[in-house]
This record gives sequence, structure tokens and C-alpha cells, in this order.
Amino acid sequence: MTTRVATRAPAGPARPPALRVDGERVLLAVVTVYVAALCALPLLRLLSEAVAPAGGEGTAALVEEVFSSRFTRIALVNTLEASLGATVLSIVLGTGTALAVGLTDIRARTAFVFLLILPLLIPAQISALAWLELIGPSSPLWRLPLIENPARGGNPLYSREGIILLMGIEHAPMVFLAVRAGLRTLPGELVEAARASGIGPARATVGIVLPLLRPAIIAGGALAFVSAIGNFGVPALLGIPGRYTMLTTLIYQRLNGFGPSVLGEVAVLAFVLALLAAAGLALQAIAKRRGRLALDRTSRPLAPFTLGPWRPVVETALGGLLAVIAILPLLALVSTSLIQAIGVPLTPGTATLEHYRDVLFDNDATRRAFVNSFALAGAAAVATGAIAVPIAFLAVRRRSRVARLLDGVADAPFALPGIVLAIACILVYLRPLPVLDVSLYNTAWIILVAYLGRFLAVGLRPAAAGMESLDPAQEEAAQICGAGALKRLREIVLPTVAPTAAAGALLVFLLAVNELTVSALLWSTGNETLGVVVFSLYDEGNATAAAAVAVLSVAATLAVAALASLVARRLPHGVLPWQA
Amino acid sequence: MAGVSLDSLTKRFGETAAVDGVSLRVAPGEFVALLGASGCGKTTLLRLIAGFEHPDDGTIAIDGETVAGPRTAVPPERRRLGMVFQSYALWPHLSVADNVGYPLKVRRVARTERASRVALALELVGLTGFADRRPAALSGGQRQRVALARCLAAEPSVVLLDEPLANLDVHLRESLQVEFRRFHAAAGATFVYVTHDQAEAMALADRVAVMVDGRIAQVAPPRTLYDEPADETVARFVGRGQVVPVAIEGGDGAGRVAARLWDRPVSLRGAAVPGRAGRAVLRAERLRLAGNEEAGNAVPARVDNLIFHGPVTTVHARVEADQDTVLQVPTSGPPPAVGDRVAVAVDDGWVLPKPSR
Repeated sequence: MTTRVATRAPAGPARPPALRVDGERVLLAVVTVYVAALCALPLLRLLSEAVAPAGGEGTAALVEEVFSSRFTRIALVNTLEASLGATVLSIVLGTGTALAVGLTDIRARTAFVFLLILPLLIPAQISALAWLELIGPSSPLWRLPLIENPARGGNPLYSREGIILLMGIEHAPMVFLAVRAGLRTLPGELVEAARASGIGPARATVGIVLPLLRPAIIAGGALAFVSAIGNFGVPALLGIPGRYTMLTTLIYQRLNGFGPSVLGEVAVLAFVLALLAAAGLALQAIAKRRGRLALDRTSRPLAPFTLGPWRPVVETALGGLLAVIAILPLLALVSTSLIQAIGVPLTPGTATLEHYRDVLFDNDATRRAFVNSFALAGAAAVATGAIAVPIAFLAVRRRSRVARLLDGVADAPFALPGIVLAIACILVYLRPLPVLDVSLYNTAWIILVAYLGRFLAVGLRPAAAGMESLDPAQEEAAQICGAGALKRLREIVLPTVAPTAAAGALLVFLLAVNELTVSALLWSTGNETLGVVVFSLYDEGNATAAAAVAVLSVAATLAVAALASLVARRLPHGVLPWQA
Repeated sequence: MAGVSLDSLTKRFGETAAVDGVSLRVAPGEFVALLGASGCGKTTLLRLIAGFEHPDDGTIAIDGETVAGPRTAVPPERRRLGMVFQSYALWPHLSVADNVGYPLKVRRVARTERASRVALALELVGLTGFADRRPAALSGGQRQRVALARCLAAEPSVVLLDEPLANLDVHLRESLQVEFRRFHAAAGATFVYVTHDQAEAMALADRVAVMVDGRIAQVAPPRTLYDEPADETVARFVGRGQVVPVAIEGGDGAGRVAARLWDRPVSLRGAAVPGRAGRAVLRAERLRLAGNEEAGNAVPARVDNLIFHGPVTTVHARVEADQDTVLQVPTSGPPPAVGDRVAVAVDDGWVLPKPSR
């Protein structure tokens, strides 16, 4: 950035009068309005609410009032303690599995990686439901011989430890991905040098590899922490019945119980959450920079250690672990969706598809939820894919400072907890829109608006990666041929980055279709989402129907992921997080 | 046909001037090479002509019309140029024919005429029959031919070429060099060709502009550039000239001077002022190992090293009167041994008009 400033400064009067073509100016104006309205405006509104509350009582008074409540203080302590515990578990699981996959010669690596990433594709409320069914009183697990049912007196997951366990597993893939990326940039010679001087694989791992991976582990851990404090699905399903309140569930319960009248108070809570997240993100950014500084020269990648006779042992252990954390809960979920009622054992004779029929055809709310979530996620995916291409084009190809700023701004709504964005959107859209004089609150539009802001970053990253891999000369060649800016964008740039933009749109769809954190605060009758109905069906005690909806959404998710993998052959490496 | 004229062009990136007050006139139909080491500003100069960069100072005119200047900036797409890129810049999603036809499509040339012009351009570069292939299915040489065909199909009056052969292997480069001359003749367009390879520049261009540190050190036809380099940098860069100190004594017939080289009398080309100390460039092929009968007029030296090339052996001869200078002398006879005393006869040389930069 600084070099560009220096470039421009001495140019003086020679600033080209018409070098930027008008078409691009229009494009820049359009994307600026889009990002400003959907990403920047809600967060700035939240900031202004925290700095100068609408009630007029002053920030200090409001903060004091909010934190004078014992509930708030407990929720804050709980959030920190459960999130830190979960982060430690995520780091242990994520680092261990990343080392096993990246540093040893185990087989079936692609399958292992997919299972390790699976928790990222399955939303928190569904994995929470699946675990509850796995450990719960009616789990098929307890009918196996020799296994004592620990859950006789109620589900042990309804506790702090349960929340830590589930959030730890849920966010372990973030550490896994960061550590695996770190392993890839590690020069192989460093380990070879150690081994040449007589240091065995185990000591080389502990003494050389792990210290070098520390920035990656910290970065991944910080991300896991930020996800944990913003997690709503796990504390909602486990913590609300277990009377273990965290900031996200406190916000939800306050707003649900008292309506928009407590908006000022929950805005303060959301702001606290945003500050915690910002601290985590800052730590992640620092660690990432450290990692780059330490290992800027990459040579030959690390050669995996040969496990020899230990290979089947490691493979079995890893397979067993993944079976427990990724596969068994899903099987329990399927099993619950097939039983006639809680307590009835599942046998070929008792299995029923009744609940599927019920949620797809009979229950209006769930039927609507399928339509709503698919429509909202589809609209968000298409709009995001469409706007991501011009933003990435202007930021990457044109090096436009405005567009690069927009790119950075778009990160915020996704990096911050979803519930923060939801509160911010309510603050902006509760009052009627200026000219139209209609309020988006209590309509599906407010959910769409929130999705567009939240998932822009998800669609933007692949589009930018695609844009980076485009040879600038290809566009220049078209320019020499006489093609104007918009024509080049349409005929030369778009066809080459279309596959990556489409992959980004599919990722947006995947995240949006199962999303709960944002819609939990923004939904209204008639505008339910899949995430909301899974949560509320379980809340009503209808676990079987909740399981049926969850199974259907997981199936849809995996189908879309498979579709994305098919397109992936034409994509730059690393666009899809689950590829080995 | 259109000429290109550059007038006191300057382009700065931060503190450094990549192009520093360059003036150059390229005649209509001329083939000019911009030659220089990497970082000398030759590519920036080409991109200024193309319009991808805007000059901080100076003007560019194409066919007499100013396209860049203090108050003018015609964008690249309206300069009606052709350009060939080092990376070929073929569009991967279009077939060979669509790549070649794209500039015509943009200019709204009718479909039938377009098809015939594409066919003609592909025929010229010898790629008839490849029209429906994708660029990914072609070899490097074929891709560069497609890029050239795309450029020629649009019938531009000025063609800019940015190291078009740099990514190809030596054999392919030589065969394409021959074809580039042919394309130039066939297209009748003005060619501005950027290269760091002096042999390529000399083989192709009508005139070569040698660039050093953002300035043009010399513009001349290849033969003049080789025989009469303007300064030491050009002399060393083009044809690896060996620059030596000489004392000039006086005229020696038309265009020649009598001089002393390490106190031995030599006759050199040039028009230098008598009595002045100067520098001269010697070419390896005009040096030889002298026999005993000539020893009084040759430079005494000692053999430092021998390098065998096949047809000749290069003798590295360390001058006895100046231990820092090693002359490279080719010999086709049986070479002397390392450590032998030899005498180097200087048959020709050029007194540099400017002592040094």
C-alpha cells in the first residue's frame, strides 16, 4: 500500500485523465454501496449503539446496569471458561490429527481428512442433537453388552463439560486446517537435518516440528476460541436445559423473552462478544504473521515419517477416534429419526419413516422451513457469487484501494459471532426503511439481508483466489484487441473465474442452509429456517422430528459438498477446505 | 502503417525512474528492438506505448496522434495496436480460432470476413487445422504462433512484442526468429520488440535501441551497434566487447587513428582527438596469437586459462603490463599451455567516442 502511495505522489499533473474507464467506476460504486449497506452499516450501527445508546442514559450507565446483573456476570464467566476449555480440546484434537495425517505415512488419507473436516459442514445444533441422541437414555449404544448407561439420571451432556466436549470437537477442524497448512510450508530439510544428526522421529516431532508449528497452532486455536464464544447451537441445546448460560444464549433468552425493548441491553452484550472475538482475531493475525516470518522460504515439503509396524495401530486409533466423534453421533441421529417414539428400541420391525413424512408434508412449520432455508440460502449464494466477482476483480486485478478496503470490511461480519450481526441487523432494520416506510423486522428479508452480509467473505475468498491465478496479460491482451472494461470482465475474466466463484457460492449455500445463530434472533412465524426448527422441535420435546429434519439437512449438505467437489477439478488448489 | 514517436518520456515508480527521459522515433514499417538487461526499463517503455502505464512526463504519439501526454490518455483498447505477450496470454476458455478471431469480433467485423481472416492468419503461422483446439492442447511454440496470429489477424499498424520467445527452448527460438522477420514483411506493420537477448535483437531488428537504467544508451542498426558502440556499457553488453585503455597519437587515414595500447602501436577505427587518453573496444575475433616475427607490435601476455569450444579454443591471456586485464583470444591451431608467454596481435578496434558513462 505504501509503495502505491509513493508511486502516485510525484506523478503530479500527469495523473491520467481517462485511464479508469467509466464502466469500472460504475462497478466500483455498485460494490461499494453493497458492502457498505450489508457489511459495514449494521456493525457501525452496533458500535454507535454501544458508544451512544439510543435511550440517552449514556454508555457508562447502561454498561453498569447490564453488568450489575448477576446473570450477565455468570454468562460472561461461563462463556470464557467453556470457550477456553473447548479451545484446549480443539488444539489437542486438531494438532494431533493434523500431525497424524500430515507427518506419517498412514493410508486412506483423503477419507480421514474428509471425516476430520466433517464437523465443519455439520452445523452446531445438529451435532449437538446427534450427541444428545448418542449419549441420551434411548441411545442404541446402551443396548450393546458391557456398556453401562451413564445417562439414567438425565443426559450428562447438559453441563459445562458437555458444552466443552462438543464445542471442542466442533471447532477442532479449524486447528487441524491451520496446522496442516503450517506443516505444508515447513521445509523438509529441517527435519532431515535433525534425523541426520541421530534424532528419532518422535523427538524430531516434539523438538523441531511442534515448536515451528506454534504460530499455526496459536492461529488455529484463536479461531477455535472465536468460534466457541460465538457458538449458539451447542449452548442452546445443551446449556439451556443444563442451566449453563453463555453470552449467546443470554442474548437469545433476553430478546426472546422481552422483545425489542431490551435491544439496548443486548446490544451491550453483543458488543462485549464482539470485543472478545476481536481480541481472538487479533491474536490469530499476529500468529499468522509470525508464521510467515519464520518460514518464508519453502523448499522440499516434509517427507512423512515411516511408521512401519505401528502404521496399522495409528490407523486404527485414528479411525476409532473419528468413528466416535464423526460417525457414531450421526448414526444415533439417524436411529432417532427412525424410531416410533423415544424409548421404543430400533429394530427392523419398529423402524418407521413416519417422522420424515411428518416434517416434509404434515408439519407446516418444518415444511415452510425447508422452503425458506433453501430459498434464502439459494438467494444468498447467487447474490454473493455475483457480487464477489466484481469485488475480487477490482481488488485483485485493479488493485483498487477502495475495493481492497471493501474486501477487508467483508471479513468482519463473518469473523464476528453471528449473533452480533443479528443484533446489529435488528438495530438497523427495526425501524421502517426511509423511503419505502416498511420495516424488514419480522419478515424473511431481514434474514436474507443478514445472510448477504455474513457470508460475503465466504464467497469472496474463492473468487479472489481465482482472480489471483488469472494471468494479468490475458486481460491486457483483450484490452489491446479493443475490448472495453465491462466487455473484458464479461468475456475474458468471468469465464476463467466462474468455476471458483461458483464454488464460493456453493460454500455460501452450505453454510446458509443450515445456519442457526443469525436466524435464531431474526426469524418470525412463517419465516422459520431449518436451524430454527431443529432447535425448537427439540426444545418442544419432539426429538424424533428434530432428528428427521437434521438428517435431511445433513443429506442435502453432503450432496451439495459432493457437487462442489465435482466442480473442484477446475479450481485452484485449496478453495474447498475438505480436499486432501 | 504508422510510426511511433516518444518524446522525453519519464515513468517513475516511487523514487526510481524506470523510464528516464526517453525520446525515440520509430519510422512506419520499421522493426525496432528494445534491448537491455532485466530492470533496465524496456518492458515499462513498451507498456507505456501500449497504454497500460501512463507517463509521468513526456508524450507518446502513434501515427502522428498524441495518445499519452500531460492532458491525454487514450486507453489501450482505443490505440489500435497489436501485442504479443511473453506468457502468450491466450484465453483458456476459447478455441484457437476464437482466440484469433476475438479482436475482429470486438471490432464488429462480419462473421464471414472474420472466418476468412482467421483462416488466413492461422495459415500464415502454419497452424491450419488447429482452429478447434483449446490452447491447453498446444505446445509452447504453437501457443506463441496462435498469439502472433491473433495479433496479425487484427491487421494492426503497430505491433508490440514483449519478450515473445523468452519462454521457448533454444531451437524453437531460432526457427521462430526467422519467421518473425517473415511476419514483419507480410504484415507491413511497425514492430517494437522487447528482448534481453542481444543476438535475438541483432538478428531481427532494423534498428536496436540499447537501454541502460531507464535511458536509451544508443539507437543504431545492428551492424553499427556492434562495430561502433557509443559507450563502454553498450560495447560490453553487445557482443561482449573487451574495453581497454589506449593513448591516441593522431590520425591514421580516413576514419582511423594511430594509438598505443600498453605501449605497442595499433591502428584503430574512430575519430578521436590526438594526445588524449581514451578507451577502445576490442572484439575477440579481431585478436589473435602473434607469431615471433610480429612480437614487437603485439601485446605480451601470459596464458591464464584455456576454454575449449570445439572449432576454437579461447585463450585467457593476462596482459603483462596490466595484471588486471585478461584478453580473450580465440585460436584454432594447437593452443599454448597454461603459463606460456604469448603475444596478442590486435587487428582492429574501435575508439569509444564517449570515454565512459
